[in-house]
Amino acid sequence: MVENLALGFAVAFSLENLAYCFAGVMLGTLIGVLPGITPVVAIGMLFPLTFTLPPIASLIMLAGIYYGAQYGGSTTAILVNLPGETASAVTCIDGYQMARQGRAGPALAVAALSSFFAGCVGTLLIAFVGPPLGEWALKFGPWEYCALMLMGLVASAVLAHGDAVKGLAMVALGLLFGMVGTDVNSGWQRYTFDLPELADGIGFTVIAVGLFAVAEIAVNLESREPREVLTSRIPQLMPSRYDLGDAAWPAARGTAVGAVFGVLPGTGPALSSFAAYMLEKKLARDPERFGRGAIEGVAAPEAANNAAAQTGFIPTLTLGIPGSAVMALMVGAMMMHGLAPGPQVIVEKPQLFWGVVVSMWIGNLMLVVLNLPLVGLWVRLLRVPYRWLFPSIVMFCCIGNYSVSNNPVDVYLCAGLGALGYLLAKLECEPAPLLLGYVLGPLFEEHLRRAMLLARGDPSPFFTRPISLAFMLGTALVLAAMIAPVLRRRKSA
Amino acid sequence: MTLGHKDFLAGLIFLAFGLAAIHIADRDLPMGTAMHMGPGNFPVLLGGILGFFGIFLAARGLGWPEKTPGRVAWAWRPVSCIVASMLIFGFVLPRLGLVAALVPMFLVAALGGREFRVRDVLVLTAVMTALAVGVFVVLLKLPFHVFPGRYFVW
Repeated sequence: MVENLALGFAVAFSLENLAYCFAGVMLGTLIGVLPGITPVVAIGMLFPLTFTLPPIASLIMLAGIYYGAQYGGSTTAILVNLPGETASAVTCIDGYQMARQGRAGPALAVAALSSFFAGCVGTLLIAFVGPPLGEWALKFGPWEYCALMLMGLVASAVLAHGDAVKGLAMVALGLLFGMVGTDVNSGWQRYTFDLPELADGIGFTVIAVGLFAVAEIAVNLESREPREVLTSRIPQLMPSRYDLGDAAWPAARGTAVGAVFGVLPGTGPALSSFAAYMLEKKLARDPERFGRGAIEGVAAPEAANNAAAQTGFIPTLTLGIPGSAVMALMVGAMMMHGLAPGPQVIVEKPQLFWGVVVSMWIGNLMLVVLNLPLVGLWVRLLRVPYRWLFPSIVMFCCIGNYSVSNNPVDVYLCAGLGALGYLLAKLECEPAPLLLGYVLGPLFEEHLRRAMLLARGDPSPFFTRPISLAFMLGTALVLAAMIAPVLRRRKSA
Repeated sequence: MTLGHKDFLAGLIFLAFGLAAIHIADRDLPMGTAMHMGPGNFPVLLGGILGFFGIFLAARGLGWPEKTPGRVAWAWRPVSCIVASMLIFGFVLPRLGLVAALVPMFLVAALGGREFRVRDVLVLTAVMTALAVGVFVVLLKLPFHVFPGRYFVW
């Protein structure tokens, strides 16, 4: 354990990796602060900047972008009452009220400090839970992998916000998108329409940028800009001793809630911050303070979403099964570098695993140290109007996609997927399950084929091998949870 | 019957994708056996699942009573401007270089916005184009031509 962390520190503290971590955190915050840009979009946009880097540096930078963007989102939530993403929607409630009462400084500081605390705990959890989990997963056969992926995909569709049936359909569509290209087993071209550009499949950035960035711009442009930056100057930044005392326990409880939710597929930061907020409201002696600028209402959800962001890396790095769109992006990044995410990563590439884990902690530290003094700069960025932003985002999307293989077809595909993403978003189909399906599709098929081959075409081992059976039962349980409310409604009607 | 309902339209889209996936796989790809799954096997399975969800959603959309809110308010201008601007970029860049690709990209994308202030858009275009050349060509050394006719890479 200690020597592993030492290895991680040695890797993460190389000047180069520190610089990439710093660059990631700064760029992430810079982009994440801009209203209407979620962490997924930030990562999708900045992704092309990282893939020329060595794998470790690239993952470190991407993780930095993720935290930075999430932190930037909280800043926007508190100062403008505009949640960049669902994870910071809860922070808006009390954070914005605090800002209106002239306490924007303490709100921002408490958000940063509780995020940092949660980040530290989350990093330790990864270090403790990751290796044993990975070791256990090394014993998995193709049946277990299939069943685990099935459970992850179904759970991400059902537990994520939005309609469960649409989520499941999006997973299936994503798996199909993953089938495009040359079949590795047989060499047959699937769904390539004789285009040589599709022989390697639809590019990962094409899907991510198209579905998230492009589609989101189109959706954003329809809604008004309800923007009024509250404070030009933040009078007092540091919270008082009483503020810190009030925030301490909520932050700790929020961390616990977030750490648990983060590991579950589909729930992630969004649900965890909501759950943490509800818990605080339940526990409070005077719940009516919530919604009127209660500091607990900032500390708990911020701690929760950061803890969840952190523990979300556990299934991603140890099992290779991402639970959210951001994690799917990380897995995609690893694949682009020729790394197969999974339990073998910890054993075969310890520098990578531990380096990334430690640099997460460093990234969190950098966020606190840098962002509190820089808050004035972020506030000024908040005033950039969206009509300047969105063409610039389109530019990044275009150049990024083009530069992957110097081919205009990728840009065309991205535009097309953007249109499809817009269509689906208007029909209330969440894009995250599609991305998960797309990332896991080829892996799922490969394990399924191997399982069928090893069992001579007999599917029964899925239900007779104990671990596989457990995952199958888990899947059934999630599906039952989806169907149960429908049945109950029928009965009462 | 509410044909414009979100569920109904989403169902139709999923059904279309599912049927197309099955049709193409069935036409082009060998299915193999349960033991040796061919390249068409898993896609057909997925297409079937997708089609099933599509039918379910479409039926659910039809089942909603007339007055249920759920019709979509489409706004075609923003999305078509952005898609068009990307297509223009992709078409022009390999032929005439980065600057000639970015200028129309910005102008067309900005048309999709709520308001189009000519001076603002021109300034934004100039600044961001210069920034793009600086960051992507000079700093990151991506192999783009900057101007038409000048076929050298920085």
